[in-house]
Amino acid sequence: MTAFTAAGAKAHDDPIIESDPPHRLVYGWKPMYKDLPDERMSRVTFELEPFKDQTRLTVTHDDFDEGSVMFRMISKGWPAVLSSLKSFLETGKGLAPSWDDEAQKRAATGA
Amino acid sequence: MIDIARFKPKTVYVIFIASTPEKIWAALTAPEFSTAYFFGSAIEIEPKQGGAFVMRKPDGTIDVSGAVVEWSPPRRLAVTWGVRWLPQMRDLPDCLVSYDIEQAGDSVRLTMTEAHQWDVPDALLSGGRAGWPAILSSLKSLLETGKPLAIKMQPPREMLEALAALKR
Repeated sequence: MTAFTAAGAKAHDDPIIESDPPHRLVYGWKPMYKDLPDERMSRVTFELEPFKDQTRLTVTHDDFDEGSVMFRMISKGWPAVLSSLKSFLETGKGLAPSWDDEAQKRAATGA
Repeated sequence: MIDIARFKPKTVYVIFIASTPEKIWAALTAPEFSTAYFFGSAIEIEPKQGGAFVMRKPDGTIDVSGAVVEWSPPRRLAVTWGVRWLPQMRDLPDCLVSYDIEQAGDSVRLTMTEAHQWDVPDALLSGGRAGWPAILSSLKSLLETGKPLAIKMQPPREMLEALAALKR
């Protein structure tokens, strides 16, 4: 799984652990942003369950070491990302990245 | 007045909504909104600290009842929260549900915190952990698209089993 920042820098180059479309996706997580703590790879699991004409998306991000800084970061990040994903699918328009001051600064400078 | 410090957060759900704090406040406190996203229940709330708070099901019976602990529009609402619709839950200590509303860039961050004043087993928390995402997702859809989600849910089996075990 690769992902790039808005400025074109590589942000992710992580292994797919499991892919069962459209039900389940699991990948490793060790982002390549600058100034991140040097922690081992964690794991993200997406589960999709149909719920009539809707879908329940459950995201589980685990396999962190005790006291992980990345864990604190993703705890702030996922609600913003998933809220934006929902808005995008339902209205065609995502939300601006604004989950914390740091992210806002990064978005503003494209760093 | 109740001692809020006794309540420890057990479930927190954060959602960002393309709306304004005032509209989110209205959606949390007015029955014409709550009936759309809160499994049909109508909110009745006295707009002051210490005021009465009820969520009433469409058949008139009480879903949830409690009292207003903090009424600070449009930033923070906190209520004591006793689930009444499940007979097995009526004798449990009330929890504390608070909503924090903050502007975050173009959108608004809504944080729901469910806090408990006793050592509540995880199995009993499963109801809220299944229900809050559905309720708050529906609230977001309602405010952003004008249309809530139609979600039918049953209490999780592990919660019902834990309630049965408490009775013994």
